[in-house]
Amino acid sequence: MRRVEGRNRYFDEMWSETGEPRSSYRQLRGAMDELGDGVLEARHRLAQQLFLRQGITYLLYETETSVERTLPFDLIPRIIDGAEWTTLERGLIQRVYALNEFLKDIYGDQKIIADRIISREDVYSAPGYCLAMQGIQVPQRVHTVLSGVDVIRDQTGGYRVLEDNLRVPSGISYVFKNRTMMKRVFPEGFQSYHVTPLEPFLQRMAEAFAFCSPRKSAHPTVVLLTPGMYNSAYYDHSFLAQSLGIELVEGRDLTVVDRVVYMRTTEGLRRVDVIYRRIDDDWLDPLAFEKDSLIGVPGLFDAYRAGNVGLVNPWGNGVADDKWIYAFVPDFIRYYLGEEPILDNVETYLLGRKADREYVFSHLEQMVVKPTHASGGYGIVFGVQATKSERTLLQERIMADPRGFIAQPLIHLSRHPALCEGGTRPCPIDLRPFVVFGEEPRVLSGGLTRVALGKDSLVVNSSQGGGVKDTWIVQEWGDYERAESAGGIDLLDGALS
Amino acid sequence: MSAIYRVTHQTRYFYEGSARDLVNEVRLSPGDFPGQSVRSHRVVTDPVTSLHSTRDAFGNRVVTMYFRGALESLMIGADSVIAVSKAAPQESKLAPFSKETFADPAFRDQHFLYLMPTHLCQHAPALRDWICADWTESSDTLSFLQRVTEKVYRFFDYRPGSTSVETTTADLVALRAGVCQDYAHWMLSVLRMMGIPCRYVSGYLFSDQTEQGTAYVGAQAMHAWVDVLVGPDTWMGFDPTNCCRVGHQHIYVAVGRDYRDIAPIRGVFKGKQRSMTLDLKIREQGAVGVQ
Repeated sequence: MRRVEGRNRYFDEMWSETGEPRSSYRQLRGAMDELGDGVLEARHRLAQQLFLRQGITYLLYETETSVERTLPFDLIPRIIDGAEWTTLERGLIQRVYALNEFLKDIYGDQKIIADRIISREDVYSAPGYCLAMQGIQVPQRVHTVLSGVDVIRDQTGGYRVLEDNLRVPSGISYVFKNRTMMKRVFPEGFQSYHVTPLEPFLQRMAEAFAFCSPRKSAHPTVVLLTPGMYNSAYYDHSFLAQSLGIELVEGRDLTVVDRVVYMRTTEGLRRVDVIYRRIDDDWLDPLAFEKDSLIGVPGLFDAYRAGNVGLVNPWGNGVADDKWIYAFVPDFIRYYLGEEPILDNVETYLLGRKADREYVFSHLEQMVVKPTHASGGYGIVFGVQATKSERTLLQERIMADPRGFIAQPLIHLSRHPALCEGGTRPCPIDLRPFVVFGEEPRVLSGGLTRVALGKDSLVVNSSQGGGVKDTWIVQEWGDYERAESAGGIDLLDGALS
Repeated sequence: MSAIYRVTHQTRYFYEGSARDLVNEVRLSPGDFPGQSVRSHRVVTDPVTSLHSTRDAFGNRVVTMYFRGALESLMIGADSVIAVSKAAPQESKLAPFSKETFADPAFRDQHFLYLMPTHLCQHAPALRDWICADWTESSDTLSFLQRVTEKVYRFFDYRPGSTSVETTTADLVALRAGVCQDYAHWMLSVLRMMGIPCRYVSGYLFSDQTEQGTAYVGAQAMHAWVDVLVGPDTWMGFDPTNCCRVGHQHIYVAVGRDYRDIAPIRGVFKGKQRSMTLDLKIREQGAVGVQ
């Protein structure tokens, strides 16, 4: 198994330029070689069977495609060394902190508009902007209690943020399940490293959720509000409710009376302090928002504005993870924190701007064009795949609604070996780390690595046959590797500008 | 011209069998606007319950109420005494915004909330075509607004029941009929498309029945009209349904971008509504300080 062609087109996570495994992967390679391809493949099949038997199906949405699918587990873990992770972690915390400042400001005094960093039109035009949140006191002033930030590595190995998910990010349960599976089916690999454990994050989540309680009681009642068992992320909901030791409820289990939220229990009504909601903004309260919602809780918004309940996350976060607003996030970091962004954005062209539009039109074959108002990846066009007439059609659509589109240069994602039919193949990957923000932001060690198993995938999300990998943050490599690492640091410098 | 009005508004809902778990959000509390001051105001319900008062993003007073038990009917009432004095002389002092101001990007962005398309006030090419020539031809903002008011009035047939609270301005292109909120939505859309900030007003219209001549349309229920930002912090009301400027017979209750922002009563409950009645009385308690 060697790294194959195309080394200039993408960054390879496991193999260095010289064809050697990167230092953080050496022990893994050793463990894999010791087992041999036959045993590895048998373990890989075992893992698939176990997932199936446990009824864990991976269904991710709110991604670039609207297609829900099961995500096969890939046995070969992704490894990120501790030093590199520390920088990534700092970048994520910086970003989430700035996004929270933005949300506080936008739903408050709007200083950033007065200071002309962003226009009112940019903000109010974002579909996720929630006017009703204007002026509302958010408990502890934390809007981004739980977020997932999608990170990719470009051709040079540099980490970049592709997308922020500040509404109801899903996928945490899969991170935990992948880890459990990994320990079970590939203990040799796992034991050859000191992998940072995931469990402390659950405690951080519980603390942060409790921190959102407007009522200062020692044991606030926290519930997870799910749309129900037919929701595609229901497994995620039930896993998290169980792991956090909180009730899993549906809209009909909650009621609001005189601006206070209660849970119906066999012993009568019990006051609810914090709701970890897995229902989208519009459907959360039929009184204040989408009136046809049957899954929401009538009066919840009234209870929230009265300051009687905490929400993870509150209404209106969609303005900050909007595709158009994304282009401004580096400016938010500079404006609110007075710092340079640690993690770069993917360069983004706002097609409502003439200069951007002209540039994109003349470089369309290198671009990915995304509609800003469509969700679920509807309407994304890869210039390189589009025919001449499709490109003309696209230009017409853009001209009809220029503010409805952004464009980004096509990025060849970093690749990582994955087990496929007849051996391993380098496949594009991304990473969704999770950040929980209570008294201070904390990052889950690792996150969800998604892998595109299709042959010619341009991005992980839009590919067919995507899978997931366990993600290891390794703290110590042992003596031999530690000596080697001095020379291996160049990876870091190249990766993080 | 000034007047003091007493408005008693009673909406009564009847349910099939009974309704449970009712939550209502009510915007029936007139606010203080230039030329309008609220002397007294009370919201009542039958059966009685706790009332919770708050303000929305537009500054309107919002009252919420919760009923857990079974109800066969529910009355929501609002009783207000409001003094209105819409003085005409203001106008002579007013230097209205010019076309250049409305076209200025900084001005546009400052007032974007009242320029953006909304769910009900959509910006459609047909509306642009409808208004464009009038805007080009006119040189004076106030006469343009008067002209648009008249044009909207002539364009629509007043036809109750032809539209619903969900009707958008895009729907109205073909319909050409509706009630006050449709007239208002249409006017809001066309003005916003020309860059003129304006807001939806829900309120009451006093119509003196004994007076000779025609009574106003919309006086039997809540009324709706359009407030236009004509100068710095200066809103001027236009009532396209009655083809007139807003005067001392118009009583402001709430303002927003469209009807959806400020629906007078929103409610959610378990059960089925059988019927609804509205009993609205607007009485003049005496004119004061005429000239």
